[in-house]
Amino acid sequence: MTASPPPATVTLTVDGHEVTVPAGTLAVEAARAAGVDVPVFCYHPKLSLAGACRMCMCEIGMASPPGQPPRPPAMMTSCTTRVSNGMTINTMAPGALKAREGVIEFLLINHPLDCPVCDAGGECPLQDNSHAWGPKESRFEEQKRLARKGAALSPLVVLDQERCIVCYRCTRFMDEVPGEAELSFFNRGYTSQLRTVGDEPMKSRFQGNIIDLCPCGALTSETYRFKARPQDLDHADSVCGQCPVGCNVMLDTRSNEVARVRPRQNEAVNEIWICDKGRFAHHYTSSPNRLSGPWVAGDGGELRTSSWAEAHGSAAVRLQAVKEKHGGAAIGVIGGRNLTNEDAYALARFAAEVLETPNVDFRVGAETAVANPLAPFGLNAFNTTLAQAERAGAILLIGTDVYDEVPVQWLRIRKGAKAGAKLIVANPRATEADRIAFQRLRHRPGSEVALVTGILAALVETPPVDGEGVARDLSGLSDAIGGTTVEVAARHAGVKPETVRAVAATLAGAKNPLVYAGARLAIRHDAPSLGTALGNLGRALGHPECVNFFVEGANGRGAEFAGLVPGDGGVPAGEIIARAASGQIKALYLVGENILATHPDRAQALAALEAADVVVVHELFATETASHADVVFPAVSIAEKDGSITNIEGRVQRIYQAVRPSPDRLPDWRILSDLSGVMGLGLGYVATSEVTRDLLADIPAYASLGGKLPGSEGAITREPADAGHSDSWPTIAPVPVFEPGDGLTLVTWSELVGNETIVAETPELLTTVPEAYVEINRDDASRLGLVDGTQVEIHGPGGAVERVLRVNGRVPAGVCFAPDNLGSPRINAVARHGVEFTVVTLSPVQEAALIGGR
Amino acid sequence: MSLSQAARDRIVNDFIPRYPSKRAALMPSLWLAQEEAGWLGPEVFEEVGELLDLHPTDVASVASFYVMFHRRKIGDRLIEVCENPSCFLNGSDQTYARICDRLGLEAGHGGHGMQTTPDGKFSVRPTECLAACDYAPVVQVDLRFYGPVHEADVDAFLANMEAFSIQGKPSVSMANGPQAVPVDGWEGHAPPAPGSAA
Repeated sequence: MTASPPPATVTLTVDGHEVTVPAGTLAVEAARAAGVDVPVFCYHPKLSLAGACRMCMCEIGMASPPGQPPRPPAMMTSCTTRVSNGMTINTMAPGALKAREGVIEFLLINHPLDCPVCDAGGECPLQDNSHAWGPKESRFEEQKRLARKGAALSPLVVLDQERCIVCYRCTRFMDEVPGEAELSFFNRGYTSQLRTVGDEPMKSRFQGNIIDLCPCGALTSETYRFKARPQDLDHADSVCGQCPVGCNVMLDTRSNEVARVRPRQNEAVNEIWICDKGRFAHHYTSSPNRLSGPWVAGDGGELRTSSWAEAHGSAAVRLQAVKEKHGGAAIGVIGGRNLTNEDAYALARFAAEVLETPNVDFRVGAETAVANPLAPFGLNAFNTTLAQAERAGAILLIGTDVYDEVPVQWLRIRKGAKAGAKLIVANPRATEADRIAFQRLRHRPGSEVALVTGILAALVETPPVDGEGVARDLSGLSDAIGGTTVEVAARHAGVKPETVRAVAATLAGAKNPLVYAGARLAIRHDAPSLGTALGNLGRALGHPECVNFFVEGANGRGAEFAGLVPGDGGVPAGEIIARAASGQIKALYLVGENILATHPDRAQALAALEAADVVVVHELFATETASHADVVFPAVSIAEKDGSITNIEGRVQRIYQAVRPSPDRLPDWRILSDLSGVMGLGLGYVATSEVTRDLLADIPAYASLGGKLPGSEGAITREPADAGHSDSWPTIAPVPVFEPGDGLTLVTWSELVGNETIVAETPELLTTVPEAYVEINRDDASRLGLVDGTQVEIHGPGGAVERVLRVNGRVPAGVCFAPDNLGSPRINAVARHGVEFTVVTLSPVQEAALIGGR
Repeated sequence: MSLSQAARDRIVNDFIPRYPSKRAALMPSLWLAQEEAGWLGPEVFEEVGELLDLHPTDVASVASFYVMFHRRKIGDRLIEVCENPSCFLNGSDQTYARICDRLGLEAGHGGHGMQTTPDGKFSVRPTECLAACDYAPVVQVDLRFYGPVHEADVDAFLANMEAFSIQGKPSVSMANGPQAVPVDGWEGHAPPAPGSAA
């Protein structure tokens, strides 16, 4: 029996209007296509179907089979009914109106109607639908249900159980989108309660989205609680400045302060989600701790407030002196990964034209001057769109914890994996992605080149086969990997050869493979080798453009495009600090970069700040680095800026000013333009639009924009390919195998939310940041006599810090992991820059006072 | 209160292979865990969740849906008195009040409110229809039916439950459900030591 293919479209009638929609469309969506909004509570297009609230009842009639008597229409929930040919949907049938009225009356029996003191009041679907469809009077005269009010589900989300209408939007979101089913309904019926197990606070970094999804004010934001009424808010479209994904956000302001951040829909970037860092960490923009007015160091080195003119004059004189005495190359410029394109462009011009230095880099800690490891292949560092992860057949994540590095893209990767993408996670550390991984590679730290070489060797052994069954000719690749075998490469990487072969087979068999490499790998000394290896991998798979490197910072890609990377003869950011510490570089120009916290070697960063003749800093806050500066310029935050930023995939997106800055703070481009004027080489900008105009004309990647910033969707941009690239198989420069010897190899990464300055200004978010910790393996712990949960001291070549020990089975032996954005001092206090991997020792902290006390 | 190795093995080797999805093995797994300990503690939600790839909140949420899963420690024996119409018309409210009175508990807790004697020997609660209306008023002790138990019978019932056992009426049938241990005297009789009932 051959089934005829189902029709691609069906035609039906909604309230008398004929409409044609794709087969399989839900009745509620078909009605929307016909311009009729059916009221809903539980239905949400991004979530699975629940059919829980019964609000969307319509009178729906089905066409009868030929020769059969007509079937009477029936009341159906339009959110769970798929359309069929000849269907009639009557959204305004008397029965439908009565059903809706009944549902509203029923829901309002238990809803407290405390709208006057509810944050959702004025933007509440329950309110709106009650107004539009509900009965005028309630017949309910009994005592209303009493339940938990103002209960904290976490430090960030507040539950009012009385308001809850049990639509399951929040629990479905947590289970289906981030896959963290930590919230659920307990008990049933009348006694249903939204809870977590043991009433533990929710831990997900995506929990804020349930506030947006809640249709009845049951879930509200702790930080926005009772702060404003929706009608009092002003709104500005912006882009989140916390990570390279570039989620579209709406900044809601009241009295010229950001009251809350909400996601804006952009299906190409964040769909409708944002992470909790983007949502909650905005209080820094209006913090009283912000710098106000410039600072200049006096003769004794102590900083004092000054006028703009004095600060500009002082910086100009000091920088000019270094330039004249030692040349422009004696000035190092670091920063730009979190600035706007306008700021980045002005900084690049300032460095090149005014300071005349090639030593410019936005990539803090970078060990290679190569900004784009894939340039030899004629590729950008990032070549796909974020949305492509949804349609991938296999996704290789190498050296990246996507949950922390590109949080909202992790939701997209999960979506892809749910749709069938085989997720391959290669990371020395266990990450959230492991939970849905198809294959896992727990390779040795630093062995990524060997690992990818191993995958290439496996592909040479068994080349991918195309649609016609013809094997790809990979004979040239064998030379590129220097004849390395899978066994040798696997041994170097510390993984099993059969796993490497299995991973290669997965990638070779996938229709649309996708490779994501972590941003840290793109700046490490062996990044050019890894770029060559991954570029070859893309070519071997027949998808050269499937390879992508992440980048750090909200506008790292924009900074790269703007040219904030080492110029001819220039050195990378890590080397700039090293040279400043050794006295070769005499002046440091740091833009929004607290190098004492972010440079991998704190001692060296401190030495650099102390040794440098001149340190100029642009900052929002009086950071530790700023306290070592000679001149500090107070900059404005992203909420106070106009302009554009470019996300990880090269998408240029517009941001609009939400908050008028105080005159004591200026945008970075303006500070630079004014300073250049004092130095006699004026950039001459007085309006953002002038910088935008010039950068769109000057920056090669933005040629495709045609001199205009794109509209609300943004537009993908690419750097033009180098002319010199070839189509052969470039040889992968071998990377020496790292042998740790005694001690533990320290591997660091950044948690999504650390105790950074901007997080510290949102105390509710700060309380969710764990105490700084270090993770080691059970065997290492027992060998060293260390106990889980106790304080240990980590000794490294740079010094020692104390951390809480976490012992678990997910860490390989011989390695310890510590996040680099937790604790004070940071883990960079033990590390040494220029050492390939820091080897540390752990010892228990002797708590003498406690021993005596017991 | 953790799962025994035997229970873990049973879940992995017997329950999970029975179903197309791991989640489907949740109910028998929870029942097995409750058989072992008499109730379900937070560790059980963690451990069952780990075995079935479920978040502990999800596990606890399912357990909370069913009144026959206990998320708090209950008495050694669970006495449930039907409060639905047939039994109520036959005076089950008085039976319930009398049982509570004899055990030193306060009657009058509606819904599924459960009370436990301070010595932890008995828990008592009203329950919904037990499908044994012909023996109204019906009392269920550890999933075994007894009846009719009128108010005047309560002392005798507590002294010798087996005399009220409903012949030919099977107990609630659950694979490997707890088997009631006959107790032939109540007053002055030492109840079974905790754990020996199962």
